[in-house]
Amino acid sequence: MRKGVAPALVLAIAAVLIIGFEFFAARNLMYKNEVLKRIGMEQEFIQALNRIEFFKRFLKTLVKLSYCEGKDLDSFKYNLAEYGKMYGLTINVMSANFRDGTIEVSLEVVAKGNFFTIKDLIDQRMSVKCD
Amino acid sequence: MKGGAWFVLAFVAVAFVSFAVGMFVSIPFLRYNLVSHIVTQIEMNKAEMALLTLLSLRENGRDYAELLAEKAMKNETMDLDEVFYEMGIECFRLYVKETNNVIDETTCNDKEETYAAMSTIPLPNKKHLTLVLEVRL
Repeated sequence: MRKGVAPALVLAIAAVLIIGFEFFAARNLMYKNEVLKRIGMEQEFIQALNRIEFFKRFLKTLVKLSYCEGKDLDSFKYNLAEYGKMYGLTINVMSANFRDGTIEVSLEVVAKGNFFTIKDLIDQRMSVKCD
Repeated sequence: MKGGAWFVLAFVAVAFVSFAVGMFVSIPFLRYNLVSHIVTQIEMNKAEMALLTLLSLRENGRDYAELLAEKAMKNETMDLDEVFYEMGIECFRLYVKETNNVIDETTCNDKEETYAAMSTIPLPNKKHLTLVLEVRL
């Protein structure tokens, strides 16, 4: 082997490994950030939908509890909004009628996140008997 | 070739090989980092779906959401083995976080990872309990 070829080879291999590692790190970071961002957005969307769905499952109980605490429209709106916060939701009572032990409510349920704001309109008619 | 040309050729060769090495070596690392993360998220979503499905069921004209809320408040248990079995879940633990009251559970012998989903049970005076479902999917 010619003099100086061996050190040159060692240097070349070291350069390949060092620069290669830089590419490796850059690619990892780039793809990882992009994929995690997309998963995060997707998760946020699913979580927002789930929050609304969990709220809906307990809607009858929530309407009953909100009404029976004060038995007037203002306290109903306030109570329902407070219960909504437990689910991470903003609740706007669009209309509410209390008549002969029956409640008719129209609600706008808003789930807000960093990437999404999901709104759902819910109508509920139910009979209520306060204990 | 003159010295300058050799130098440029060597530089390009080193850069190309480095690029190739870096790109190919990173694939298994990316897979390891990301796939496990994605799988966890998917399994957690499945657990949430299982809890939502459970709360959507009805028995004798009553919602399971109401029934479970009642059981949670009274620290009672409820037999849910068959319900979960129909959903395709064999191992689960349904409990109330605040009181640690286990409504029902079926344990498995193996130690595979379990995933949890939570829901808020509203109580009078704006208090609440948290219903937790741990499932092994």
